[in-house]
Amino acid sequence: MRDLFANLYSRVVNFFKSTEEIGEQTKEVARNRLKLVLMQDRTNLTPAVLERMRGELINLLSKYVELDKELLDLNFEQEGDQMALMLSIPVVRAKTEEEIQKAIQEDEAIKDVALADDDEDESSDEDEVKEEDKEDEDGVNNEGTSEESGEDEEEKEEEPSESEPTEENEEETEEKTAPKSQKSKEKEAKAEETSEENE
Amino acid sequence: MGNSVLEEKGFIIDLSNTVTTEQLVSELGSILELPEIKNKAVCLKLGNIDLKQSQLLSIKALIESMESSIQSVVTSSDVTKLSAESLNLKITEVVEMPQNTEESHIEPQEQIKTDFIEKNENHVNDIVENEITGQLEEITEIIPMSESNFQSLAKKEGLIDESSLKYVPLDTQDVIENEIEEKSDATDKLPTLYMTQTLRSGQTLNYNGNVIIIGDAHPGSEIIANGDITVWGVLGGIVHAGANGNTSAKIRALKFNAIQIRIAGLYARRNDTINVPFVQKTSEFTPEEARIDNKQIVIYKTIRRD
Amino acid sequence: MTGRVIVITSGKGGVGKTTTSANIGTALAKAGNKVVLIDTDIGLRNLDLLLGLENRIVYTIVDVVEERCKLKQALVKDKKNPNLALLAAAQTRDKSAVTQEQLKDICEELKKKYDFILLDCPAGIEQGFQNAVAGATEAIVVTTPEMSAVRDADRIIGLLEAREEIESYKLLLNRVRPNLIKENDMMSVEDVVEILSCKLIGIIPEDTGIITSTNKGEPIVNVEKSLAGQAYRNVAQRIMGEDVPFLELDKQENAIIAKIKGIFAKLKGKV
Repeated sequence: MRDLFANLYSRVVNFFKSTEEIGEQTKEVARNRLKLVLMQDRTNLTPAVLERMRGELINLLSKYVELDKELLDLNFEQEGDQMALMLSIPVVRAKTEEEIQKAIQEDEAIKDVALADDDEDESSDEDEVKEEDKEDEDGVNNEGTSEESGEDEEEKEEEPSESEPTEENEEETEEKTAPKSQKSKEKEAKAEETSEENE
Repeated sequence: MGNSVLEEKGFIIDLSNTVTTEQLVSELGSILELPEIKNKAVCLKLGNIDLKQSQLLSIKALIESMESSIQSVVTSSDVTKLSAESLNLKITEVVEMPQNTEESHIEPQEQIKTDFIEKNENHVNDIVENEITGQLEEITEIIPMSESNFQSLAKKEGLIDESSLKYVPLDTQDVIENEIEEKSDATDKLPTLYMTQTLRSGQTLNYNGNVIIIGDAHPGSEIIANGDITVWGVLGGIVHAGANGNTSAKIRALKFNAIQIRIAGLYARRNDTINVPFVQKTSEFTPEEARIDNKQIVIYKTIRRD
Repeated sequence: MTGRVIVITSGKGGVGKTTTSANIGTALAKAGNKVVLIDTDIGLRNLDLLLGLENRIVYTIVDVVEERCKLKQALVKDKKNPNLALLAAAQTRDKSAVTQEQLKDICEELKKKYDFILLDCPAGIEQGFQNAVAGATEAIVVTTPEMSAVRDADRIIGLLEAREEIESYKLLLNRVRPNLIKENDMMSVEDVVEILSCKLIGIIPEDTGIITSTNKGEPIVNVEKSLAGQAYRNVAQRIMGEDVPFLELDKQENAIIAKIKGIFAKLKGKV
């Protein structure tokens, strides 16, 4: 008996529903959310880590092409049994040869510094490099840094920015060249510690 | 109370709290899904809802499709009365519902009670207070030890419909191998555990002596005692008195809804055809006592006071 | 003769594992197989309620494992079908009362005498699940077309894949509502199968008759006209190896509802 009422009611409602424009079907929403969630569950990539990966990819690719960073889409897709990582990149414009060369050079320089760090030599070349690196310190030295600072650092590297030579510990700059991600992690840890202390 | 008998031989369809036909239809629908609605004589209790002849006829048809028939109709609506008359249905009158609903329930039922008693005379299980007077004990039920006893018992007494028995024997022959040594000691010398809480599902109470529970024992609970078991409340669940073989142990409850009754080595289970709600909280109690008599579990209605 | 040991699991609770176990077991028994159903949800048993056998339980799986009785004594025969037996869980203990090894041994012993051993698995991924899966070689993963159920099913499938003993696992989609699917408010069967990439063994429609059948203790496969009952019967056939096409759910009309509609119309005064 109750079925009957439920049926009638839902039929009436559906009649009105179908004549309206519905935005996004709830099933589509559910499906997309579910796919995302399952990819995370299956691959151990939390949203936070995925964001970092996305950031690093952006920086890497930005060296060679100008990207619309907002519209960059990074997702896992499933083709039957196979899982694939899909990256969709809207290209605003190509970078000029100069820009590409510059980017490559910067990369090379960083590598050199990394090697030279082991020797702990203070050569003029290093100074130049260090000055450039110091630009990034601005972002790093902010209190309560989060991953954002990581991205900020890297962005600054590419853009022709003003250099603000601040005197910092040389150790800090040396450490930074190699794994920048580690640095921001340390900062994060420190930030967490201070916030814990504050509490 | 006579109520339990009537609900087993006849049936009261109580639709008196429905006001609209929608409510009536949905109430009736769920009532018709109960298994014991089949093959019964029905008293149709309506409130002051107005039913046209066609509507009453449809209700009648639905009831008859369950192989039951309308014995009488109780209604306070003139329109319904006319409809019932035109369908040759017997009408019983009820005055406006008073504040104390208990009384109004009794009136029509007593009338029907006498009707049923006239019609169905061969009951072993009837509790008819009008007929049996001056007896200390009234038997509710005899649970025979095995199937064959049951058959002969049925034949002796005329007609017993097994589906109306509340408890049937549980055939434990290939299940329980251990022979418990039977004895028959008086239980009043045993220590007694006095508990004032309700036993819930999953809780087991084991005691070497008598047990008194002021509270209920929910289905899923177990009470195992070497002596008597007394539940001052609703007994669902499994209950085992005289667990060490004491055949003089007794089980008492204010409402006997146990899933399994075990005394010493005799087992009985609740009949499938009885539709007992899972946990029945009620303020209508029917005190009963189960004990072994002549190698059978017998359930007595009133508690013997020696 | 060795029986097939199938575990019915889901991860998420409340999606219909116990109902599925009771109905597939009953359907297989009706088809002539000797079937034993094992309720591994110790402490929260329900399989006996669905089969209507709760009054008849004397010994449980914990009694067997603690050697208070023999395995045979604990098997309760079904009311109607002697081919079907139930090994009930204990209500008064919890899942630590039985180990994986013990459950495995019980399955081994039962394999010799029964065609099918169905294990009703509890919700979760802890010891209850581990125990239930211990003795099994096949699995049926039950899920509904809802996000949380599908997510948990995915986890369970992952766990099953990691076990070598599980040779095959199939998906059973329960409580499907074709009218919601049509309105795109519920994920379709194809969606779920695609997301989980698992073979389908059955689609069971939402059926209010399930509530009634649980109340009565009468599995819905025994109700001829029920759509869910028919779907479960088909699943049993597929388990036995037959290739039964899936029911077309949106085209079915319940005959009983039609009858009531007629009476309803009359009661309303419109003939």
